[in-house]
Amino acid sequence: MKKWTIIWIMLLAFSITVNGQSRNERRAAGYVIDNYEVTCMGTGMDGTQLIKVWGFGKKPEDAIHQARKNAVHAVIFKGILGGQPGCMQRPLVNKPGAEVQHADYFNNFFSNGGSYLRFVSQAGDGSVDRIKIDKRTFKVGVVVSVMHAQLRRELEAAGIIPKLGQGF
Amino acid sequence: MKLLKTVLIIILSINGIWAYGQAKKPTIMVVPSDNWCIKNGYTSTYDEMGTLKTLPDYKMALQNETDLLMTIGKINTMMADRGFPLVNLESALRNMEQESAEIAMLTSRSGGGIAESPIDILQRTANADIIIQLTYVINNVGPQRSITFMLQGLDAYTNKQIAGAQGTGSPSFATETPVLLEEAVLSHIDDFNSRLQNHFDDLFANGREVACQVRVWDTSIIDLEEEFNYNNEELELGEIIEDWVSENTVNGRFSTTNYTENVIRFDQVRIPLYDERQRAMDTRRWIRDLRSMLGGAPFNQDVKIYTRGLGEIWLIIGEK
Repeated sequence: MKKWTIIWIMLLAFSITVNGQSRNERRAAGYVIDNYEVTCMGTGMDGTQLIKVWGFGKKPEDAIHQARKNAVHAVIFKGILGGQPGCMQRPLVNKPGAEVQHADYFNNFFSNGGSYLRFVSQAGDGSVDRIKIDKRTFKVGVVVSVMHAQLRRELEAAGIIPKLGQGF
Repeated sequence: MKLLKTVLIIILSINGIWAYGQAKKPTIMVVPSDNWCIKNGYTSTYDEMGTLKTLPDYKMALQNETDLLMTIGKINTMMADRGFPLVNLESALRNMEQESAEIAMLTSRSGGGIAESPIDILQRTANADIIIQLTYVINNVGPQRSITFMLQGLDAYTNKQIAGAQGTGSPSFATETPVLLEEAVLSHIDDFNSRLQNHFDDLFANGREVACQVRVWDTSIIDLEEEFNYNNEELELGEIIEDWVSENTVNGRFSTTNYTENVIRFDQVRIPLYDERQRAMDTRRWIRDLRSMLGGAPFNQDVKIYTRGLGEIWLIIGEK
């Protein structure tokens, strides 16, 4: 009996550690889970690019919201490397650690209903690719248009990236 | 009245600090690459001492190729939108022709013309500190067409490629060339600018990279191997100059790529962007102190400074 109690306590402690790590990771990643998929679908009008991005959520609507955040996050921090030609391969923010350095700004920017929504809009007919991963999780892929030129101006105004040729 | 004077002095001082706080801005110009000009037949050939030389003919290219004009115009517009207006090649060429005509026609009241040496004429070319070299090729595979597009940002003085963007667009059945070109510019300009910004960041962190040559007139009585006692050390003139360059570069960064009795070439010379009074620095201002040093004892030399744009300077010892 005592042996079983010890095993239960160990298992409980282990699960708490695992959950703790996951929570910590989530906190570090902040507003997005970093392993989202994103591919280029082509160039849009001047200063925009079309990308297909995936998001996860308990409901398909949540996953779409997450996907939009991911799209803006990809343009700012990752660059769009896969898919068709025409997207920015380099991220807007190149400086290592900028996301952590300006954590307050980005937490606010990517909050639900935050100003990231001004730079992303639905492209095409609004159809989505929906995959049910398990009982509680949906994975949804959407094609969105990200206004990267406007986004750059916003980040310049916030002092996160320098204006081209600033200082001359 | 006294208060007004004080306020004016403060405003002027602030303006002065602001003006000095700006580093010298490099000029950028988009030109079609030599490869593009030769492939499309826009060249001129001339005989240089028995050797035929082929040069790109930008004027003819711009007058005949609407697509090229449109592409350069689009790049210029997008760069201006991003806060960095470029020098327009067509306008620069036109201005140069106009300037030549005016110099030839202008006379003083006594009938004197404008003084111009052969070197002044040679330097009167459309030039910029950074050249964006543009190349594009239309690829045809059956009925499908695509565009291979390349932008290279070249530092005119260090000859280094400081930025670049290239790629081939998606093949299309019905798209016209101007549309393909416009799409290519839209796809590549921001990646190109991102790399250009990295170059500017490096410049602000480590100083402007320039090239410098020290030469000797053939009429000079000394050369760069002449020995002098300077600061209680017996050194060759070239070594004294090398020490000066080391002391006056950011973190002593430079390379001596050539050292003979007649010429020393310094490459990758990193000069500070501002002098000790926070005034914007350029190569001419940077080398002035060396000229003063060589003009004084124990050297007592007349020295000519010859500039090649913002990023290359020659110091010629022996005469003005």
